[in-house]
Amino acid sequence: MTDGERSTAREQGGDALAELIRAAGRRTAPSAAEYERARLASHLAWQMKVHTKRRRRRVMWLGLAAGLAAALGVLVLPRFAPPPVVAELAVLRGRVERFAVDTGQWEPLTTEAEIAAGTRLRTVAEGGAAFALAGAVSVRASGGTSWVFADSARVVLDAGTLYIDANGAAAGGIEIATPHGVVHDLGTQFEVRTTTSELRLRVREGRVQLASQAAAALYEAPAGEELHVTADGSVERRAIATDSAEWSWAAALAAPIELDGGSAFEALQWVARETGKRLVFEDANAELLARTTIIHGSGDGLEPLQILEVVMATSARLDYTLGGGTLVVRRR
Amino acid sequence: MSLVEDDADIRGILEAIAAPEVDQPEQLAWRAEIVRLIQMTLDGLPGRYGDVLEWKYVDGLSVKEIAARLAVGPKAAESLLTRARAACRDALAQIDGSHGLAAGRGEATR
Repeated sequence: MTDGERSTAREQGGDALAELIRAAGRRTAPSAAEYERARLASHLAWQMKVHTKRRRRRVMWLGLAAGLAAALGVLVLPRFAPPPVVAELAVLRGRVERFAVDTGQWEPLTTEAEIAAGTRLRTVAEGGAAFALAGAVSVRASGGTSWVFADSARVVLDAGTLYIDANGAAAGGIEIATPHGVVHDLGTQFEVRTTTSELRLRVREGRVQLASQAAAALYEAPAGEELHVTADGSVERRAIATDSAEWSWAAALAAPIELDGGSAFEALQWVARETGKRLVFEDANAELLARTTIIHGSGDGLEPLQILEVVMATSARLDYTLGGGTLVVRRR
Repeated sequence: MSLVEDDADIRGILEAIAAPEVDQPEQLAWRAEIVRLIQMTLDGLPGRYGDVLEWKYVDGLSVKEIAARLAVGPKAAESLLTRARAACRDALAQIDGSHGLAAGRGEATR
């Protein structure tokens, strides 16, 4: 088919893309979540095009610049402003990949990788990763998750499970846009799991708001509660334990704490937070002892409960009990 | 395989959407999802690209009629349409990458 014939066929609407658009029919007003997802998809597509064009231009200009530099003895570098870095890989388990817009290929992430705004990421089934965002926000992805860091305060989750720890985060919190609605944290720890058919929101600490797309309604969930949203908009609530084994995947992706030189009290606070336990000291003397006990050594590669063992082994005068949602610390 | 790798891929999706006797809930849900994603893609295109494509292929307007709506010349409207098609293909490719439409098609036509 010549260009002219192809053009004519398209003019008549006889090509596949035209038929696909026709089959989809007239659009209705999109929800906020849908709009955000579509906006991001288009943004990524344009970003890819722009990068490709910039790369071509760079090659051309580098050739010219090299010629000029050789002639003038001056190095001329082209200007290129990449998207801002919004996250940094903190923990890597198994294989985690990012979509490289330059090559159009999925590429494995390496330790301490910096993630630019608009980067599409995915974890393999047995993989997992934790990312540090501005404001001490931790975003952790379980295996089989696909998402985009739209910016430093907004994540678009297509499928899979994310855990957010926004402890001490800047005002405004972080938003997770999913196919079923937008989740907005109010300074807390929570987990969002989404598939094409449902959304599960579990709150471990603080409160979380959910703007449900299908129900066209706003819900709020406190700590210890789960919201289950189906594609038809039905919403169910149920109580959950904040320290059950269902959270252990997120704890396993916690960024390692710097133990050396810190107090046992700080380490215990961290362990309690990562395990969803309430930290309780049996008496004031036990707390004082924890605050004045300095830990030496590294916690790299250890999960929270292993850290607890290390801390307690360091301090011969402290003991602990786990149970009933609490971590009780006492003097021996 | 990408949804927009060639027209054969798009036609595969089209066949799934247009299947006349699909009554399995999963297939209906998948078809609805595809339709929703295509509409989302049009919504997310820059400028008036989504409108232009909808006017052309859903409403059946001619290039001249689209030009009149946009108060531009026919050449400009035709150029806009070409760019809108390219942008739509790129955006569909991005969405396909994350939603696995091609895999879903396989399920639906099994």
